[in-house]
Order: sequence, then structure tokens, then C-alpha cells
Amino acid sequence: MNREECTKYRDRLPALAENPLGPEAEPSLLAHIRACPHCAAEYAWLASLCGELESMGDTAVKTVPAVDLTDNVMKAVARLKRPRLVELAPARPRNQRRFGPAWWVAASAAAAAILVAAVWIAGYRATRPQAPSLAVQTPSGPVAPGEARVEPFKLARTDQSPAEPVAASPFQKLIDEMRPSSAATPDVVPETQASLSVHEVLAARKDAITNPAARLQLARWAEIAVEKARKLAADPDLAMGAKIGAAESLPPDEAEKILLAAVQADPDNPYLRSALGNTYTQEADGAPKAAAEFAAQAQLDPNNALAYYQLAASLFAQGDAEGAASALETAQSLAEANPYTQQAAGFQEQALAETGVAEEVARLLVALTAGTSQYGDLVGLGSQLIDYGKYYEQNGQTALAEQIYNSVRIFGEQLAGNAVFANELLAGLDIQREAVSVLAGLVEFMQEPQNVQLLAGQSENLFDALNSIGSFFTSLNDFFRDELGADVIAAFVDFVLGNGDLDVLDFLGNAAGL
Amino acid sequence: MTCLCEGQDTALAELVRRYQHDVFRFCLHYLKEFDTAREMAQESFVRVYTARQRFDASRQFRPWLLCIARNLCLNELKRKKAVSMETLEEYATSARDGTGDILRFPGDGPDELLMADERREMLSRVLETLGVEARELITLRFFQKMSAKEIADITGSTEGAVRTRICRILAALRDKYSACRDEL
Repeated sequence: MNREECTKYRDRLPALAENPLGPEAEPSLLAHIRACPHCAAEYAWLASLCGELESMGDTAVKTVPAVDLTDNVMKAVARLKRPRLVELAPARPRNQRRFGPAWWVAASAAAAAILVAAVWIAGYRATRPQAPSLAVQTPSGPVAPGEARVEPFKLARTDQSPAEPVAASPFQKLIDEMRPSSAATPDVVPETQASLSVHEVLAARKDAITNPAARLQLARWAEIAVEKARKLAADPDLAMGAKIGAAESLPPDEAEKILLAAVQADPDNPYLRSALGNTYTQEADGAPKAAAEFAAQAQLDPNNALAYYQLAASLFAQGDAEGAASALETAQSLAEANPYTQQAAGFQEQALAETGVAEEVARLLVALTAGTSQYGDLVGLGSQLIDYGKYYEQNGQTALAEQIYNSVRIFGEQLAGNAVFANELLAGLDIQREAVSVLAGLVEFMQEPQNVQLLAGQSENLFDALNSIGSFFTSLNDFFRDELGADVIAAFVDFVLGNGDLDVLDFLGNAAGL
Repeated sequence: MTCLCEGQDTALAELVRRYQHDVFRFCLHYLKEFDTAREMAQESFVRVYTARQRFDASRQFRPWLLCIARNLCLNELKRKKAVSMETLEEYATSARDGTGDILRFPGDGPDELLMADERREMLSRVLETLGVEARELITLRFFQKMSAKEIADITGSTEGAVRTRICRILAALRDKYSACRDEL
């Protein structure tokens, strides 16, 4: 058999070996194999290779134990049919609640949940440490009624992990990584590079899936260095929006000047009132001025419970427990708590663009980090209120303590129920976890069977909600793993800045992962 | 599937019973971890439920299901930063049970394994040199024993392209194996 003929047929041998009965099985090829020992040997080798590979598969299959997925799948599907905190639904107006308190209460009636809760509550109460004394617990914390306040009132950012009563989610590690407080605020914030490109930001976001340093880098890029913020604040020709955005990066006394001017220019803007009030809370003896701003905010935005919670905290700081309790009562009766994340993102975007960063880069950075500072402020506010509750609990005023803890729990529900940003939702869930934890330790509260039911249901739902947000974070990370075209990025940014990020994957058609 | 689309949820349970072993094995080929494979197999059926209205009734159900499972597995591998299908031979001899222990195969007698071991060792070395896509095709075609048409449906390719690619991979395996043998 000549070599030329072998060359002609050699490349067809793999196809024949792979599929001996297929179209490759032509008479001329088969005749050549029969006549050529060299090609016959090669064909035999290839055929045995295919057989070997198949036997490797067979060997593996033999070892695979049987599984029965039916129950788990049907349970997961049944769970899908229940209301969920994170449902990737079309964008909706901010004032439309996803879940009202009625849903939480109804869900809490589940008998199985009661049993589970009773077990953990019993365990938790047995191991719960006694609340430390006020002096040790919160150096800048609550003041006793009538006591002069020395330390400035601050909305402390709490990095402590939430309480135990809610079972750990399988997504816990991911959630912890995505939680804004997991990335410590750097002591020195480097200036945002004016030459930063969309490509570099996306590369960092991709890297951030597994690399905490990249997450921190993104946060740094989205922040404005103090010196730059000062320059923006001093520029007489700069639009007020950019100055308001810059105020976030400035010390309270400097931010106050900008926000006062902004309030003067636009006195009916509740966001500005809230921002100014928050600035006052960071100043020594700023609580009365903060309370006045929050009261004005509440008048301008009467359906937003956040104003009343902030007002309550500033009243507690002044020792006005009665006024604070009244504010909490009003706050509990409202349907939503809106932390103005979208407005803040808009101002931040304007300020960032004024530092020289390309507009599209500024928008992308803000879209990727929106809600970061709101998360810290909201969780801090919840913790602050709980600290007041602990103070009154230790002083024997358990009814007031219970009201505070319960209102913080509802605050978390209101935030979660109305969230359009993942950071808002996460804040709502973390606040609820902390509130559930302290309520579970309050003997008077737990003596009522319906309260045990309530917390049991809440714990179960929190677990589900954490799984949902874990799924969301997973999908979001998957989205950023791929190479994304400019049009996709533009659509992503536009949607997030206009509607929040919780629904963005659904909007972009990537949520199903199909 | 038609019943499921019409709202009969019990049809989902029947689909799970019918295809669960298939999907689980399929996922295990990709992920090599028992628990993760079970989780992804389970999630595949949940995705079937959520995407049921998008199912094209003119297509076969199994390739659609496996396509979903494949996407989930690839995403999971990306998430874990694992290199997918790093060693087919290793998988074939080291599937892991729920506790992470290696599952051994009592069926292979020692005599048979003497020659097979040597050949497999060399083959495994050659397989390791293949790219990710080539290893996936080897898995689907020979481990899962899928036809080129089924593979095309799952991977979004064409039957002809899959056939051509597999033949090239076999030819590459042949050449690499020969080179490997000559080195010894």
C-alpha cells in the first residue's frame, strides 16, 4: 500500500472510529483498512481509544450513588410560590411595598417554625450574656434622662456580626463579603484617578468577585478625596448638586456649610434635611439641631418612617424618652422607610464627574457602589436605637425597651420591604436580625406565646430572604464574569441609577442564567 | 412538560423522577463533588419550573434540561474558580461521595488493571493537555455517550461542527499519545 493512499485515508480514521456506522464508513475506506496493515493498526488503536474513554465513563457511572431529588425540588418550588424579599420583578415605583407587615405576621404562624424557634430561643437565652454596663458598652451611647451629654452623638457603623437566632444561610460567606462593612474604610482615601477607564473599573469589579482588595479599590475610586471635595465646595461656579455630593466626603463642620446653603436654596427637599440632620448628629451637642431637621424632614416626607426613627434617636440623645417613644410609634405605623439612596447616588455622580473622572466612569462607579454609605448609616441607626433599648432595659424600663426593640425590628422590615438596592435590603435584614436577637433575650416579651410565634416566623423568613439575596449576589457576580459590551454596561448603569440594582438582572435578561 | 406548562405541578415531580439520575450524573461529570452536583441537579429542575413558559415544545426536553444543568455547572465552576474537568481520568477513578472520600470501584480485577493502568496513566497525561472545550466534548461524547446531535443541542453548536471537532480531538489524542509513548 503506498504512502500517498495512506495519507488520503488517515485523517478519516478518527471519524470512523468514533462512529463506525456513520457516513464515514465508506467502502473505499473500509477496503483500504483491510488492505493496509499500518492503517488497520491505527484504526484499531483509535477504536480502542474510544472504547477506553467510554469505559472510563462507565466506570464512573457505576460508582454514582442514586439520589432522590424530588422532595427537595418540590420544596424549593413551593418556596418560590411564596412571597419573597428578593423577587426579580419588573421595576416598580419606590412607594410600592413588596411585603407588608401582614405578610410577616401571617408567615410567622407556621407551626414548624415555632418549634425551630423555640429550640434556638431556649438555647440562645441560656447562653446570652448579660448586657454590659452602659459606661463600658457605649462611650458615646445613650444618656440617662436629665444627664448632661458630653460625647458627641454619632451614628456608629457597626461591624459586629448579626445575631445568632437566624440560621446561617448557605450564602453566608458571600453575603458577608458583599456587605459594605466588610471592606474597612481606609484611613487614607487615595484620589480617584481622572484617567480611570470603564474597562479598568469593570476589571476591578470582576476581580472583586474573589478579591477583597479589588472591592476596596472600587469603593476608594467611588469616594472623593477630602482635598478634592474641599476644592469642589470652594468653587463658586459649581452646581449645588456636585457640592452636595462632595459634602459626603467632608468633615461634619464643612459638610454642614454646604448642606445649610443647599437647604436654604431648596427648603422643601427632605433628602437635604435628612443629610443635614445626619451631619448634626456627628457634631458635639448637635442632637437638638438634628432633631429639628428630622422633624422638618418628617413634615416634608410624612410617609417615610426613616425620618421618625432618626428623630427618635436624636430625641433619645437629648434624654427626651417620651418624645422619642412617640416618634417611634409614628414610625411603626408607616408603610415604608426610604433612605434616599438614589438621590445620594445622583449627587455623588455629579461630584465625582467634577473631579475630572469621565462621566461614564463616574456613573459606573456610582452604580456599582450605590447604597454603601446608606448601609452603614442605616445599620448604625438600628444599633444606636437598640443601645438605647438596652440602657432602658438595664434600668428596669422593659416596656420602653421592648417598644424600641420592636420598632427597630419593624424598621428593618420597612427597609427590606421597600428596598430597590441590595445594600438597602441587606441593611433591612441585618437590622431585623439584631432586633430579633435582643427581643429573644427579653424575658417579658417572650412570655407571650404570640411573640414567640412572631419571632419564629421572622427568623424563618429572614433565612429565606438571606438565601434570596445570596442568590442575587451570586447572579450579579456571574454577570460580571463575562465580557460585557458597552451597550450592556450602559443599560446596566441607566437601570441601576434609575431603579436600583435589585431588578437589574431581570431587566437585562440574565437572571435565569439560561 | 406540556402538563407542567399547563400548570400541573405534579408533572414536575414526574420529570424529576424520570431525569434526576441522568442530570445528577451529568452534573457530577462537570463538578466532581457529590454535594455540589446534587445541588446543581436540584437547581436545574427548579430552573425548569421557573422557565417552563419559555420551553419550546417543538424541541426535546432532555437536551434543554441538560443545557440548563450545563450552564449552572459552568457558572458554579467559574464561581469556585475551579478548572473545569481538569483530569478526566482522575474523575473516572475518583468520584467523591458526600463526605468527600474517594469512591473506589470494586468491579475492576487486578489482572485486567495491570495493562489498563499503564495505558490509562499515559492517556490521562494526554487528556490533561487538552483544552477545556475539548475535554468537555470528550466528556459529553464518551462519558455521557451523547450523540453529536445531542451535544450540539446542549452546547449551542451544530451536529457537523461537533463531529468535526471530536474527530480533531481524537486525532490530536492520537498524535499526543504517540509522542508521549516515544518519550518513554
